[in-house]
Amino acid sequence: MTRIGMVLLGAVMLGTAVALVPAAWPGALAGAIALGLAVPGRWPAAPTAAASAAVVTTGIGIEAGALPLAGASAEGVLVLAFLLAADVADTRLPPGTRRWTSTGVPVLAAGVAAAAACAIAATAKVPASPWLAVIGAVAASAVLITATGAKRPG
Amino acid sequence: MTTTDNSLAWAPSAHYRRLATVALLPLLAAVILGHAGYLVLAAPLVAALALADRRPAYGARLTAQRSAERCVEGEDITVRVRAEPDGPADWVHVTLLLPPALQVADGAATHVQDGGTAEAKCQVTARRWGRWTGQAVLKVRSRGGLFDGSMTIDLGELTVFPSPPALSQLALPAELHTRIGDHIDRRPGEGVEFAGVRPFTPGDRLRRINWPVTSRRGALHVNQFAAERAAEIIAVIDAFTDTGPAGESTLDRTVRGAAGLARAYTRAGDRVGVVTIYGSLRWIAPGAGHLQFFRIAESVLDAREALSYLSPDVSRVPRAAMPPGALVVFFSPLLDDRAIEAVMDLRERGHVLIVVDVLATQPKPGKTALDDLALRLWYLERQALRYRLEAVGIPVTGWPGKPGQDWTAKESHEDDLDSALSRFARHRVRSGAR
Repeated sequence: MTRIGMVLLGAVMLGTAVALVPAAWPGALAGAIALGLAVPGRWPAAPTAAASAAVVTTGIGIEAGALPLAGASAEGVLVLAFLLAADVADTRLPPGTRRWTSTGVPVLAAGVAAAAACAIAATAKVPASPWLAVIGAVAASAVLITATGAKRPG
Repeated sequence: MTTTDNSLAWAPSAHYRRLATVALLPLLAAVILGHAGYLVLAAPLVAALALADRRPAYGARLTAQRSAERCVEGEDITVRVRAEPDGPADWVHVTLLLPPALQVADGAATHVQDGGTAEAKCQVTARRWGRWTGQAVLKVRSRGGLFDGSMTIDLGELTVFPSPPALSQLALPAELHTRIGDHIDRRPGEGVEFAGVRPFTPGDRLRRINWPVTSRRGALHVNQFAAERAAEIIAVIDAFTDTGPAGESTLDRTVRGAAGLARAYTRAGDRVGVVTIYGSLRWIAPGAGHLQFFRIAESVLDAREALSYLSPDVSRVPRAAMPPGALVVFFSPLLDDRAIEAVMDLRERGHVLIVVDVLATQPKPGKTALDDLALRLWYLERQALRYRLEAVGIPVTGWPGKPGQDWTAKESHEDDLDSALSRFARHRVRSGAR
């Protein structure tokens, strides 16, 4: 059941990508093939390949300037939802398990918020400034320290 | 019960790798192509990575318990595994890794629990004799799903004894052992079976005087009774070759046959021993009683582990382990020349011998006429071998069927050994019998 849900989400993800950027249909086709291979669950890289294909398809639209940022945000959220569904399908949790869903929904909400914030920030017109570069470098360092766990080992 | 309380070995989960891989593509594109739109695409994935718990450091307590440490082929045992992670987890995954000889009969080998304590209970059926070990693998997914912790525990050794086929008719050697038993001997003794009448000698019991004969012949005569003695049986296991499907291979059948003999004869009060030949020799001297059956069953479990290219020297078997006059039942597929030489050697030493051919498989029929010819030649060779053995006084019986006949017929090992040996139960087996 969870695998069917994953495939449906993958189909929506790829369908949205090809609807937004019709010219990049070969990428979506490759994604659909990967999605088909993900159904039996024997090739663990299949969901990654399908999501990457959707990202590449959307990226072609972004590069061509044919895709609004709202579309890219929606596609990013769909990719996240698909990957979360792929993870649930892999865990083979018994039906009726709610705990994973309760942890997955906040992640998805955070993804939506992050995509929206990023889209708003990308549309804002900010004049070039050396202070911005310094703030950016500090933020990048903070992210790096948080990610590598230098302050909180373990 | 096995318990381990260790730290889990944590590693990035497949979910982490997926998120990171897919997020990396637009991030790299944003850096290389200088387009902020790519960051919008990557933002949800980066947010998911940032929100999840970082690499955890807690451990877990894993307990495995079995309902029995020993069982017989076909029996079920219950395996319980309890996993208690010391920290928060999205799910806890317990998998039993069992050899093919142990089959999960009830439920799946994998149990998933959404966090907290997981308890897996499996009914495991022992399909094949031997000493088997299994493992329970615990996998814990950290909160947020980015890290998997794993831990393994040994379930301990499970001893599966061969399932002995039932024997209703027991073949007996012509000479019985001097120990008291249940079988009537030719020699006179203190049994209850009438054996004849003889003149009275001083020391005879008065209650044994046969008065009708005494009055007829005019001199005292007494009844004579046959002695009741125990038989000595030696099961020889040919462990040189093991061919056929797992569970029904020649060695599987051989060991089951030896166990069947041990059970049937020890129940009848006889003395049973076993000799295993596989290059080196291993033996259990004849003994009686229920304990002897388990001693034999325990010893034959090692037969599968030691294949050898050495030729055995049966003269090394001590007289106590293979006493003269004992009935030797040699279980063998008759595929290895060393086993055939051992059979001949035993015969030359004057042992009373029965060979049980346990080969239940045959070469696959080929597609060409040459293949068919080769198969026929193989049949003829098998027949010639049988005739050669019978010519020197070694009777050969097939289990299943007779050598050279249709060996593809599926027969249960529960009862057909009885029919294979039944013809030897009609008369006492002598040295050189056919």
